[in-house]
Amino acid sequence: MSKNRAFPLRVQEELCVGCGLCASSCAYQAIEMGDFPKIDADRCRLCGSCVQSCPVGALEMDEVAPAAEAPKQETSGIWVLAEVEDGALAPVSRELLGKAVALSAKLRQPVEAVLVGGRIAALAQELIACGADRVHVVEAPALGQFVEENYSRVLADLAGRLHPDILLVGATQRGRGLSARLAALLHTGLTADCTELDIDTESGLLHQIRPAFGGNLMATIVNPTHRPQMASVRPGVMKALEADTARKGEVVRHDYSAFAMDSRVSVLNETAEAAGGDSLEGSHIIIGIGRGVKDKACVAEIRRLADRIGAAVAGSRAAVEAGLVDASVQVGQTGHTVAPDLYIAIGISGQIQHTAAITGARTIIAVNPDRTAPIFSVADYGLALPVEEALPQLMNLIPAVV
Amino acid sequence: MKRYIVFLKQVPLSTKVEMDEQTKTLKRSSALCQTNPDDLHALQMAVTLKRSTGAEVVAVSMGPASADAVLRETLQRGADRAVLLSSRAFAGSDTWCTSLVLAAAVRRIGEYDLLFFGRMAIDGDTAQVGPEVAAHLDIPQLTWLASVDGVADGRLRAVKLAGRVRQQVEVSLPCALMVGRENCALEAPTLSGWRWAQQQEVECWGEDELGLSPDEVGLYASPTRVVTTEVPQREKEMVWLADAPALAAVLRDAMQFQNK
Repeated sequence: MSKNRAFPLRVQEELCVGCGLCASSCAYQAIEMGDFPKIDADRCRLCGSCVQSCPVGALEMDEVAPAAEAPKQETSGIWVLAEVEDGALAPVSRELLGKAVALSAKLRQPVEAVLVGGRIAALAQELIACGADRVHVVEAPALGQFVEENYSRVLADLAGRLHPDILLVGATQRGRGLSARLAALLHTGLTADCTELDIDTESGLLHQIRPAFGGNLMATIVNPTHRPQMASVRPGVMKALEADTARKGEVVRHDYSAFAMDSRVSVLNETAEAAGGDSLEGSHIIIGIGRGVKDKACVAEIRRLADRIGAAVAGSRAAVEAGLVDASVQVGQTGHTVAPDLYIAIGISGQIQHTAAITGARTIIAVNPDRTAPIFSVADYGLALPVEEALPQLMNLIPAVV
Repeated sequence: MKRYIVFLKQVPLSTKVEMDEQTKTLKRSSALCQTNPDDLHALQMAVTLKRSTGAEVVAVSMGPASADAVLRETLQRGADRAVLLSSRAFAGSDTWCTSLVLAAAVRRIGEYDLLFFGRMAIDGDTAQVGPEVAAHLDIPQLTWLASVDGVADGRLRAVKLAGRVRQQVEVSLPCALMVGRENCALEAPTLSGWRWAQQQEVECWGEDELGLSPDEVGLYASPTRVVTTEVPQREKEMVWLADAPALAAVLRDAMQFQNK
């Protein structure tokens, strides 16, 4: 494999002070520390953590040649893929539009929503009210059922003709598989589960910020040369704008009635799936239950408290595994990400996988007897009491009707 | 000859990474690695299905030479053949480039009926590679699988979840399946399987064998690029509450704020 180009990561030994920070920053154990760091090229994934960690700039990674940095063609438009559920706009679509409007103020490009489905054109006005300057409507009976193969082909064709600069998708059950297939068809990059999006004012590139290594690091990712710049965002992470029905926008219909749908896939039937945790994302108050809640009687008591204050009940992974709450309401890296006005963590220790999914909450209250529990490092208010002690008092203090 | 191809990734034993509070850098985590949990379930589903269809199961992993351990485990658990995709040229590949390499491996393996992927890897959480391989090969994809109900006459019946609806679908082969932990239970590996696995060869292919140029893969061919990584900074200071009445007061304030 010697014909490959030179390994792009180098140690400038004359600068190195031998501190070893690079070796400890490497998540792949690719750096062995002697007098100088020694990089194991077979383990290294070129993630750049070591370059970041070096206090004296002794590690150097080759940049891509500047000539290759320019996008291959002129692009315009911040696209948001609208998701429709039960004939209504999914909340994540409104949230993405809210973020797209903020990006548009910096990038000076229009916000454009893409609405695909069987009978969906009526939702175009709502997309405009939520921030879209233009709505691309693709309405065809054959698109009435969500089939990733068909949706991705239609969207690839549309994006291939109109050249959007950015394409945002909800990281939902539908959005994930669809966006990945679409990114491959368009030969472009896709960053999953972004928690923040911003425009780099110098380069005009979309900064796609997402947690890495279980939320211990925040990585900023760009897509310098391929278009569109695709990113997915979980429901509940971005804030939607107030709908303004006076907003004006353009509706552009695209005729895909003659488009060949994928004959290899047929949907035999569709049944409604219980809403489950979907209601979590829209809740203003959420009570999260953790393993510190001892038994089901205690859970029942918490549910009564939740009813009194109008809260939804969710749980950590540990609570789900202990059978205290249903898996559909799990909050955490492998469950829901939530951003309520108020999150009350009861008996949750606060593993990073959980806390990474609740930091969008405006206020976090944590109840846990262990003062050193990591949940308190993300909370606004902490109460160090056992759950079974705090709960009856709270029930007495919070009247049935607030 | 029926053939199933299963893709598995070697991931860190835990994604829990400890932080050095002084230097704000990651502490070197345990060197132990494991097979991505979802991927083992994908392998199990392929091996279980093979018992009724007689298909050959080929396990494929892309990664450093140490990923050989992942492939030994697949042989022990019922795979018939194992292929390691390893080259320095692959380092720094994002999901687009990774899926290009995997698709090239599928083409080299030859005819196939089903591709099995784990739904998501615990070190990346993207759930992208399976659908991207399916797109590269232009075959149907079954994401968020609820159950596989049968494979016969070149067609597969399955139930998948798509948000608020549960779809019963029929898909012509070949197609790609993304398997989650809840889709099937793992069988325990056997000692005879282990003995057999130790005697097998794991094939190793780089970009030459796959007919790829080093310029098509790895860091520089990847559309996405990491520009910075930083430790998230905590800004807010927490207030300790003395007792439950103090908490109730905060709760009432928060709710009044919300009612406005």
